[in-house]
Amino acid sequence: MKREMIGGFGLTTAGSDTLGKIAANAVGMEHGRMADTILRAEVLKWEIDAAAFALTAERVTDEVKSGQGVGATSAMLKYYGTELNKRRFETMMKIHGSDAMIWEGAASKGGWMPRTWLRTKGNSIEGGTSEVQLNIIAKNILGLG
Amino acid sequence: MAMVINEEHKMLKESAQGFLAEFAPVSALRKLRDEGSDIGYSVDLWRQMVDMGWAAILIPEAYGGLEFGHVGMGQIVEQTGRTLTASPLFASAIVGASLINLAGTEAQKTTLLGAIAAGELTTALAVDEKTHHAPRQISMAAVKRGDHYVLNGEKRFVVDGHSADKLLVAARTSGVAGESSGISLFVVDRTASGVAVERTAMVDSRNAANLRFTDVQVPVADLLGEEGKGFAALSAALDIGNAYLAAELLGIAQESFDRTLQYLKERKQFGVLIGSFQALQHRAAHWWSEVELCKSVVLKALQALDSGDAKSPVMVSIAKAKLCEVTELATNEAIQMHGGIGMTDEYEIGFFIKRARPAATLYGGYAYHGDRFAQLCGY
Repeated sequence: MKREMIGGFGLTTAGSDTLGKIAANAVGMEHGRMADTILRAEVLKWEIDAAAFALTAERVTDEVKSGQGVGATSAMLKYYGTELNKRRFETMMKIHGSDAMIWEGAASKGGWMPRTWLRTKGNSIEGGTSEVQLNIIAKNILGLG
Repeated sequence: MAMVINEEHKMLKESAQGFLAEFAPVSALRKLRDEGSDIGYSVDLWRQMVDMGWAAILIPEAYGGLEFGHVGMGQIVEQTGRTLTASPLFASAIVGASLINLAGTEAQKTTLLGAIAAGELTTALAVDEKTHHAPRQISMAAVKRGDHYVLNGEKRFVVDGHSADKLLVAARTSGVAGESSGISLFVVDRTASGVAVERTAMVDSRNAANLRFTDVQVPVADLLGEEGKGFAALSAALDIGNAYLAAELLGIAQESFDRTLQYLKERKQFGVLIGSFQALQHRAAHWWSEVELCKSVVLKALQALDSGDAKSPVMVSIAKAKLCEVTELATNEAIQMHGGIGMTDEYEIGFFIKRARPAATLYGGYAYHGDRFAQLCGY
């Protein structure tokens, strides 16, 4: 269930390039590093968090399988996963610059980038907002009244 | 490999938890600090740790060790983060033993590893020369003269540098600072002629020293591994060290969270428990979520090291970077949520922030490991 849900956030699309590779291709390299160092820092922070999140989804699943898990982490996965996906698309917009905002036409695949980016804003609203997930964690897992 | 620990690891974790809570709680670190301990740890405590086999966990059976692996040792180190326990475990049984095992000759391994496992020998890795971790930026010169090398230069932030029996020193036999080739490793007596040791009293009340080497003569037999080819082993030992620093930081992140959560459930303001305020609930819930991610990256890094995974350097840098970030959040939130009492020395919560920053900085913080991660990923 959780793996499907996380797949649905668009974090792990099989066969597609990593955010780092997409960024390096788009902005170019300089002295062995991505040319835009501020954007590079944003990209690597996202990739580290995304890797940590994917490993956590794996760990939660493995713990449930081995009978160790409490299975109460779905609120955290929903909260963190949707926030990560929003960050990913904000960073993608910066990576592609002015092209990222072209709304119509064949070259932009019908404005896929800006339309998908705006769609992600719904990720942390649909299926229980991030604030609702934080409430669930605080009350059900942490026992804060 | 499943992202869970097995029964043996769980037992080790629980026994470490019980032992450290009884014999080496945070109050033990306070005592060492207030008494101005010369060596910075309790010899009796270290002897007990050795007797339990902790110093032998990473050492191969052929050299008198238990060969129990990184996931096992990681359970202990995570607990030492919860109790802020000071001991030679990290510098000697983890970093020192790993470097000797990776770089040493058969004779060096037989002599040194057995002694570390038995608690008869302590070591300190001397690598960095400036205020930021940079393992290729080594300027310390090692010049061969007959049957000796002559070492000249300075080292900083050498953990256990003022108390260890042997210094494991990275010096340059050829090339210039910035190159990975030309780095050689040496085993040097801390009391050797020409070694000046200055203990640095740091914010965490733990052991570190700055070292100055002036014409220090090191016999050729004490070259660790091959001349000029020390960087690969050094880098691998630093990965191991960083995985355990991440494990210790995980203990710190969890303990500061647990203590703060407890406080939110006890402390009343305006007639109600402060844990009933949504402003604090959401911050606590976010913090808890980040700690969950931390558990995963630390376990993955330890598993990668155990299986000899070629992606170990990437996994270690992910773990160290993430733990640097989250322990900064954790220890800052811990103080803010404790309010005024969090600022006092009488209350233990402040001890966690003081240990978290040196542990994060040692062998590279977020900037170092974030940059390294990106480079390993090709950008």
